[in-house]
Amino acid sequence: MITERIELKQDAPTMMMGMRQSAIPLRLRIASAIERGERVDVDFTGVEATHSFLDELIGVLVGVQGPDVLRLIAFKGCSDTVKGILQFVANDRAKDFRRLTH
Amino acid sequence: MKRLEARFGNERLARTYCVRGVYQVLYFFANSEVILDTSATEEVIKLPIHFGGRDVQGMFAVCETVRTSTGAIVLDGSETAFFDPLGIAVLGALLEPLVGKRDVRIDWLSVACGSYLERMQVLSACNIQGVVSSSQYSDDLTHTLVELTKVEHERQVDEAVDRLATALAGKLSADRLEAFKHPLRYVLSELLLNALSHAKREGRSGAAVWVACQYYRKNKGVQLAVVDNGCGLLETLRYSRHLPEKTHAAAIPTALKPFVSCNPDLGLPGGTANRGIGLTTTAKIAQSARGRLLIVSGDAGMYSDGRPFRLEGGAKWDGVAISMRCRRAALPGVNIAQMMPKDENSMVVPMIFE
Repeated sequence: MITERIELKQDAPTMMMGMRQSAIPLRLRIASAIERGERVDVDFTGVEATHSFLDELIGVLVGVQGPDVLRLIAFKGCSDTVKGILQFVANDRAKDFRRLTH
Repeated sequence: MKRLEARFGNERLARTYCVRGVYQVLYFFANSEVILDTSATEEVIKLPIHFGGRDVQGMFAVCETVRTSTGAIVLDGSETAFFDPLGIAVLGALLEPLVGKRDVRIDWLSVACGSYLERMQVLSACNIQGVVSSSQYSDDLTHTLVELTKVEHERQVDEAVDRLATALAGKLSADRLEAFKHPLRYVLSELLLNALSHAKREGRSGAAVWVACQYYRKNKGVQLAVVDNGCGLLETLRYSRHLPEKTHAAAIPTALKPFVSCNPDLGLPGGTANRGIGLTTTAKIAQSARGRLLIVSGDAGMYSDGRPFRLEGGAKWDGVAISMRCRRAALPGVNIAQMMPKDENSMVVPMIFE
């Protein structure tokens, strides 16, 4: 299976990715790859991120497509902070998805 | 003369100020047709001893007087002994927009305070006259303070965040530096981006954000301030179902609740609504680092440890002023992931971490 690789360090002018707006094109890239039947590796090596950024990057995908979309995405090089916030975002948006679909 | 010496702490500077003043008067009378009008006098606004978080009431009383007065702004700094980053950021937000519209002067400010204002670039940014300063702050203070910085666009945020966090984290080896910078970067990023978003709502596209920060070596404390001149928290939450009553006093604790967003509709193409986690997390980070937030908006204020207050004498701030204090040594121990709101009913979604 083809894997789309996204290295966030290439898009980060400094170490902290905070703007929700800057996550949108990356999320669209992830969504397009998944639509093509590809897996996605998102590499956070050397980068930190706020809740706002991660919610826009991944949370929206989970909220619209459901938590199963995360089976096709691998998160690499995450700090403990990024891991913790990603997990929170996934759980939070999955709750919204279930509320909408049940 | 003795009074001037006491104020300036230096006979040479005192004489210079005195002689300069005499020459100015002589030059004026020699070159002008003087019409004495004793009916028009400038209103002199007295600055408090502490202009900043230690005297929030005094600081915003000055702001209100400046806001409601007309003509030249004359501030009396004769009793002022201290400005902190909140005071610096508030001065910037209050006076910088008036450059070119109203003259601003601070009289009788001590050389120490004048030098501090100069170092923090308040005098140049706000075109303040009348202040005497020396070069006592000429040393490299890159790892101690960041001068008044105006942020108008999101593209300025990353550079400002990194500079502020570097200053507050201090001179440390590379392997230790990140542990101190990380929570500061997180807080600054959230506060600045939130401030830019909500400040520019309700038709205030010209609103901006002013920031300043300092590390105090004496008590090893860190203070940062983010102040905007936008529409304030009440306007952004006015139609929120979480707001119990339409007052500034109710808006501030409401904004601190998790999942209550002051920017519910960011209007981003292809983007989504804000979840309302940023300010809540920032308050928890401050608390975890043995500190607290101070938030003022409209005619009310609140400390993040729960103490609300009203601004006295009809004073109000059109916008939001936030100050965070904490212990620098406590920063590496902050676990940001643990600050996310807890929900016992939430299921844990499987994720792939490699």
